[in-house]
Formats: sequence, structure tokens, C-alpha cells
Amino acid sequence: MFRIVATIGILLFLSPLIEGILRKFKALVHSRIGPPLLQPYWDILKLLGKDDVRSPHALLGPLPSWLALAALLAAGLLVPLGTASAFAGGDLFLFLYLVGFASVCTMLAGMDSGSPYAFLGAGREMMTSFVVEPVLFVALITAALKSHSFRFADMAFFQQVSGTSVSMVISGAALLLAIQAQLSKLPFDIPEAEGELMGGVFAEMSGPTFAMYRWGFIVKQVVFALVLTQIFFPWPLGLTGLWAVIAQIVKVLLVAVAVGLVDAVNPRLRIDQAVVYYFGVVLMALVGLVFALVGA
Amino acid sequence: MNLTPYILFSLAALFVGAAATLTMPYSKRTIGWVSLAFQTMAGAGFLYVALQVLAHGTFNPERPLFTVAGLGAAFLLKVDALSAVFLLAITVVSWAAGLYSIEYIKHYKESLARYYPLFLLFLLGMYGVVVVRDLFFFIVFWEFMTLTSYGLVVYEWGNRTNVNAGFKYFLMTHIGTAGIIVAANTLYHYSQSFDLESLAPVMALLRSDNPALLHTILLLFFIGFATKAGIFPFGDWLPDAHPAAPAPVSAILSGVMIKMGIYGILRVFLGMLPVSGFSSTWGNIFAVFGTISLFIGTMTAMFQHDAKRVLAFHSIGQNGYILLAIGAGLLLAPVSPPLCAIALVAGLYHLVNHAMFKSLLFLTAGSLQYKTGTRDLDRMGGLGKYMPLTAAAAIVAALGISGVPPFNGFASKWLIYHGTVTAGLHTPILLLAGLIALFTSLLTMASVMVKYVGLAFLGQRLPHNQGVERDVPAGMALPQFLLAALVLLQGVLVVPIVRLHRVLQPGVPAGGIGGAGAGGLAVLEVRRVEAGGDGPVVFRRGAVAAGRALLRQQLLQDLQAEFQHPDRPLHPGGRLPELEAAQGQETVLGGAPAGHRQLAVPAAGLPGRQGAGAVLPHPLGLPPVVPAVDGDRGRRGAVHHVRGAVTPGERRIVSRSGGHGAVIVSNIR
Repeated sequence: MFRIVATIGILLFLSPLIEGILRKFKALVHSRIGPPLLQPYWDILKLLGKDDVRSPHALLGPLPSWLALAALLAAGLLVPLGTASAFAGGDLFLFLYLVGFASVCTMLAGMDSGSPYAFLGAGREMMTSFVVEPVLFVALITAALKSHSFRFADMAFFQQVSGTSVSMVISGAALLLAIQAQLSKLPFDIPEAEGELMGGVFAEMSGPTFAMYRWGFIVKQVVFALVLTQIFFPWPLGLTGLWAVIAQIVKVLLVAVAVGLVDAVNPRLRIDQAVVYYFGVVLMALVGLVFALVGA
Repeated sequence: MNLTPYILFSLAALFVGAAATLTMPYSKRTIGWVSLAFQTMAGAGFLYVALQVLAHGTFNPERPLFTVAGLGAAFLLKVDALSAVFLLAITVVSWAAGLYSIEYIKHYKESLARYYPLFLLFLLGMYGVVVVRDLFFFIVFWEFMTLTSYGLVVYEWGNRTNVNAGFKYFLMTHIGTAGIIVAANTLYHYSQSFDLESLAPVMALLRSDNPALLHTILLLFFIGFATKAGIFPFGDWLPDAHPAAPAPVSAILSGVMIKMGIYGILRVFLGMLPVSGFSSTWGNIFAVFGTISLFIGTMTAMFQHDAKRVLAFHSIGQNGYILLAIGAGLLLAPVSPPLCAIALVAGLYHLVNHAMFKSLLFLTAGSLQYKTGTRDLDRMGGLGKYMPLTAAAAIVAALGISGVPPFNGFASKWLIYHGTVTAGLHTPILLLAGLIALFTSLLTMASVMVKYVGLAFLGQRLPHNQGVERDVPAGMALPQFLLAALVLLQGVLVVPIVRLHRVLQPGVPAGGIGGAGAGGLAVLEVRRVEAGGDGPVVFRRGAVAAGRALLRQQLLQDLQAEFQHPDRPLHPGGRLPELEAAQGQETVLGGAPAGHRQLAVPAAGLPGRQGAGAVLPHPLGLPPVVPAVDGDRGRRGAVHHVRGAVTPGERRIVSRSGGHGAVIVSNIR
């Protein structure tokens, strides 16, 4: 119980700080001053306090936004934080479905608003997920085959015990490349594309509903970074207790900075360019899987 | 417990109901209620039969109700747990569809004389298929089902497209059925009986005697059943026929009728085919066809604009999932009973789940057509605000088919992934199949949630739908609600339902894979949670608890053990011992009835086997099975009747039914 509360607490209340650091870093790269570190907290608080202006066509209302955040938090519980996950038997299929469900909620909310921009955004989100999600599950299944377990805790343990292997390195690299698009960062922020789609699925959103999506998004960033670092890059080994948690947060920060750096220096790709790029990444993940099958 | 009267009563109720609805001069609504009353009677009877069988075991009477002497057919009933599951699915789905019909069918201008009578006879055909043990009557009911459903598909007789779709359906399924009939007759040549239980030893015989013929027979069965099941590329009729039929009929077609193909596959490949290299070969074939079907079906669904066509292509896809799971089960049976069991349970569970969410989706599509007069998704939109009950039902069904926890599709797909990916270590083709299935699940989620639900219910209402102000009448909303509740319940009460894995144990001849599945399933007996004795674990706390609950089960521990020692042979030599067909010498006696020759097992027959004609080792080392049917069959000196001329040196099966072994006449003097 303590682990669950602690994990949810860390995911909910620490992740905006990481977002803040990321924004500050991006501003540095752009030679701007950037927002204060705590700005994401104020953003969420401000949105929560606003009126919820809704599209007159909306059927689902704020429901998908809450469900998306809940699904992402639940997915976060499956990933080990510290030395064990909040749910010892975190299963990768459950994780994949929860993450997938969160993005379907986002698409539905966009279509629900009835805005044509949101419709386009939802379509792009769908296209992106078709090429990006396979990277995630092929990489995770590679780890499962290597560690002979579908549980995140066992997968995270595998490299600590057995050392690294070719397949894990390839899969980890593929996943790192996929995270950029999973998190809708440049050059893959195609579904939101503020310049052309005015935020895509979020075009019509405001107030607490929007706050939930923003918050969920920030949580997702941390969860994905955790999956990447915990399963594929578990070093340094041998840390326990609070030290392990701190080391993980630092690693998550490093991933966030890497993602932010790519985000800051790249222009947006067109959807077809992104799809072609991600076919390559999927192939790379599959190569990792083949290596795992032959035992490397 | 003699269940014969209940079965006959239910079948008779449907028949009488058909006659009554055909002749009644009352209003459309009254005839609908009369039809539903007869349907409820039949449904109650079959519900009772199914529950009795699930509680007390297989109902398998010795005597046929009647025989057709000239054809060698006997009307033998048999309801085992597998039939019971199908009875439950048919009853639930058809009752919901029947209730839905009453309001729905009123907006057609065609005569009801071509609807309710055919509807009831269609149900009669489906119920009949799953309760008979005789292949001849199986085919009779099968044809009954096909012909009546053809009549329902072309209900809108004036519409050229529908008539063409109906013709395509008629033609394709009959080509498949012709193959089934040829296969059945070929088997009859060997056994002189259509009894499914006496056909099993024939397969054991053919396996060693004439493998090419056995493969041909299996191929004919597979094509025939796969055509009905809508498996790509045999199921090309499906996307045309489903939209043509009225929505409640589409719901039954997709929810249960196409599953009859899966039922046939299970009966032949699990019930009749011995565990052997043949099962691995056909398991591979099923896995490949299943995977192709699930991918292409779902992919094609993404490009459709007709609401019912989207759903019909998803039926091809979802039946692909079921076939993949069954194929994985067959493939793994000689290798690993636990994984075989997981795969088979996954397939059967997905079948039941699909019956619920797909029929629900078709009913919601019908509601859309009822209100807007079109099936074109591009001409809908924003209807959710005006049809909230239908929208909610459609969203629940979409969550089910997408496999979102805690809805039912998650549980069965989860089992499919676990079965296939775990097996990937020794059978890489299943790993590939599992990956494609996982990816396809993403396509399903996008296609049903975004395309179907999104386009129809979300967004802005189009000008030509301004008239849609209220939801469908209660008579149509209620069945939708009923099915939606089941979609959720089947996701939440996974453990009690998975206990139904018994369905793959009893009544399956020991030669079949059911035996292996039984062994595996016995290992997998899902336990109650010891801690605090809190009863069967259900998904109590929503999505997160879902994964946890399943992970706490024994099922998973065994799976884990299997995963961690992929190289450990589960059986000495790494595979199950193959069934041996026992051979004996028999003597032709005189004085047989016309057209028959009498054979007798000589006193010295069957060397090394005491007393019985043949005692076959059970593949899993369970107690041996002694063939026994007439009391004297199998004993030394027993007399058997064999039809047709018998030439010396011919090999033949003389055992009739009831037993699991084969006494093969290798030498006739």
C-alpha cells in the first residue's frame, strides 16, 4: 500500500518538476530565459481553477481525460520504482493496453469535441501510434524472452544478474528512438502541431479537462523514461532503497533532457516522413528480437 | 439424468413456433412476441440442459432416438461441456436478438412470414448442430442452419445487392459443405457408422494406413468449417452477407453462427484426430491461417465506410484470433500440455467473448440504421448525444473488442498473447503470430473505437440527421443493455468462467487432443486465493487489479514455470506417446442379415491383451480405455456386424461406438 501511494505520489507530483527542468533546458538551447522551474505546477493549478468550457457537441465530457490519467497512473504502478514495482507482478500486456487505452481516450476526446482540427489530430495520433507502439511492444517482448518473464520486475532484474546482451542493447536503442514520438515531441509532434492544427485533439479543451490531459501527458513522459531506464539501462547496479529511487529520478531526468534536446533543435516532420522513419525503428526492434531468439 | 425430453421439447418448441408465426394473422408486434415466447421456451430448455451438463457432466445416451437404416445414420444425442458452452452462447445472443427484432423489424416493408419462421428454424439448426453425435444429422442440421440463414440474408428480396450477397453466401458455404459431406462419407466407408465417437478410431487407423487420405479428409473438413467461420480467404461471403441481413440476424450470424465452423473444427481436430504429428501439422496450418485472417480482416475493416461491413470484417479478424489460439493449442499439445491448455482456453474464451461484443456491436449498428436509415458511417456523426443508451452500449462493446481491461476481450486476448509468446521459445512461428496479434489489437482498438464509435456517435450531428432526437425504443435498448452487461461481467468474473476449462476435458475420445488438454487443464486448475479465503478472485478494483488478480493465479505460476524451463521435456522423450491402433484377427461367420457380414473375434485374437479386444494406452497415462458398447463388443469371440462385402486381408474397424479404441481386422478368413 505504501508503495502504491508513494509511486502515485512521485508520478503525480514530481513529474511536473521534470517537465519544468525540460522546458528550462529547451529554453537554454533556444537562448531564451524560459519559464520558471515550477511553471508546470502553476499551469496545472491554473487550469484546474478555471471554468470547463465544453463543446456543445460533447457527449463524453471530461470522462476520457480522467480515464486517460488513471490508466497512465495504473501503467506507472507496473513499472518498478526503486527496486520493486508497486504491483510485483506488473505484466507487460496489461501495461501496453493501459498505455494504448490512454491514447484512445485522447483520440476519443478530440473527436468528441466535434472540431475538425481535433478530428485531424486524432487521425494523426492514430497513424503515429500504429508505427510507434510496435517498437514498444517488440522491445518489451525481447526483454521478456531474455528474462523468461512477462513481469517488469523480472525484466528489470535480468540485466543486473545476467549482464547485458546484444538484443537488449538494440531494443533499448530502438525504444529510445521511439520515445520521442510516444511523447509527441518534435520532430514528431505531428498530432498536436500547434502551427497547423492548433493543438490537434486539444484544440477545444480548457479548464480542468485540459489540466487532466496535461498532467497525464507529463506522467506518461516519466513512465516511459522509467521503462526505458529500468529495463534496458539499469546501471548503476547495486543501489538500494531511497538511493535507487534517486538514481532513477536522475536517469529519468537524463532521458528527459535528451528528448528535450532533440525536440529543441528539430523542425517538425510530415506524417509520411515520420512513418517511414519509424518503419526503420520497428525493423531495428525486430532485429533485436531475432537476436533474442537465437540467444544473443 | 435423462435430458432427452428437454432437448426434444426445446427443438419442438422452435418448430411449433415457426409454424405458428407463419400462419398467424396478427399484427407485427404480436407475432414478434409470440415468436419470442417460443424462443424463450426453447432457450429455457437448452439453458437447463447446458447447466445440468456443466454441473453433472456429459449427457451421452447409448440409444439413438431413431435410425435411418438405409443410410446407416442414427439420431444420437450428446451434450458435453463444449456443446453446453455453445448452447449458452446461442441462447443468450439469440434471445437478445429476438427481443430486439420485435421493434426493429417493424420498419421493413417485407412480409414477416419470411422472418420469424425462418428465424426460429435457424435457431433450431444451430441448436441441433451442437447436440447431435452423429455426423449425418450434424450435416442435416448444418444444412438447415445454412438454408434458413440464407433466407434471412435475402430478407430484403427487392434489393439486388442483398440477393447477390445471399447467392454468394449460398454458393460458398455449399462448396464447403460438399467437402464436409465427402469427408464424412469417406470416413463412413471405414467405420460403417456416422457416430462421431466411432470415427475417432478410424482416424487412428488412417494415420498409419493412409496418411495422404487422412490429410485429404482433414483438409476437406477444414475448408468446409473455415468457410463457415469466415476465415480468410474462405470467408469472402461474410462481409457481403452480414450487412445484407437485418441487424438482429447479423448479430446472430456473426455472434454465433460463424462460430459453428469453430465448433466443427474443435470436434474434428480435437475430438477425432489423435495426438500425433498430424495435430502439429494442422496446428501450424491453423495458426498461419488464423494469423493471416486476423491481420487482413482487421486491416480491411479500417477502410470500410458501411457500419456493418466494418463489423463484418472484424468478425473475420476476431475469428482469426480464435483459430490462432486453437492452432497454437493443437501445435503445442504434443510438446507442452499447460501451454496447450492455455491456448485452447484462450480460444474458447475469446469465442464466447466475441459472441457477446460482436452481436452487441451489430445491434447498435442496427439501431443506427433504424434511426438514420443509412449504414454509411460518413453520413452519421454526433448521434451519441441523442442516442445515449446506444452510444454507451457501443462504447462498452468497442472496449470489449479492443481488449481494454477490465472488459472481456482483455482476458481472452491476454491468454492468447501469453500462450503464443511463451511458446515462441520453442516455436518461433507462434511468437510471430503473437506479435501480429498484438499489433492487430492496436488496429482493432483504433478501428472500432475511432472509426465506428467516433464517426457514428461523436462530433457534430449532420444536417440530414436533424430528425434523430430520441434513442431507440426500450425493446431495442434492453437487449443492448443486457449484452453490454455481459461484456463487462465476462471481463470481471474471469476466474469462474475460466473454470469452464472443463469443457475441453470430458466427452472427448482419449485419442484426441482433448486428452492432452485435459491433462494440461488439470495442472492448471485455477485455485482460490488462499489468503483470507476471499473466494474466487475477480477483477474487483478495476483495471490495475485485473492484472494482479490473474497474476495471483496458479495458471500464471505454471505458465511462468513453463517459460523458465523451455527445454525441460514434459514427457519422456519430449512428446506424448502416440496412440497405437491395436490389430486383431477376426473370423467371418455365416448367417448375417442381408447386406451384412458377421465377423467374430477369435478366442485367440489380440495377442497379449487379456479379455478385451484392445486396451489402448491413454496418451497421458490416465486409466486405459476399454472399448465397450454392446456389452459383448471387444470380448473374445464377440460378434460384429459389418456392412458390405469383406475381402480377406482387408483392414477394417468393427467397433461401433462408445469406446475409444479401435479393433482392426487385419486378417479375415
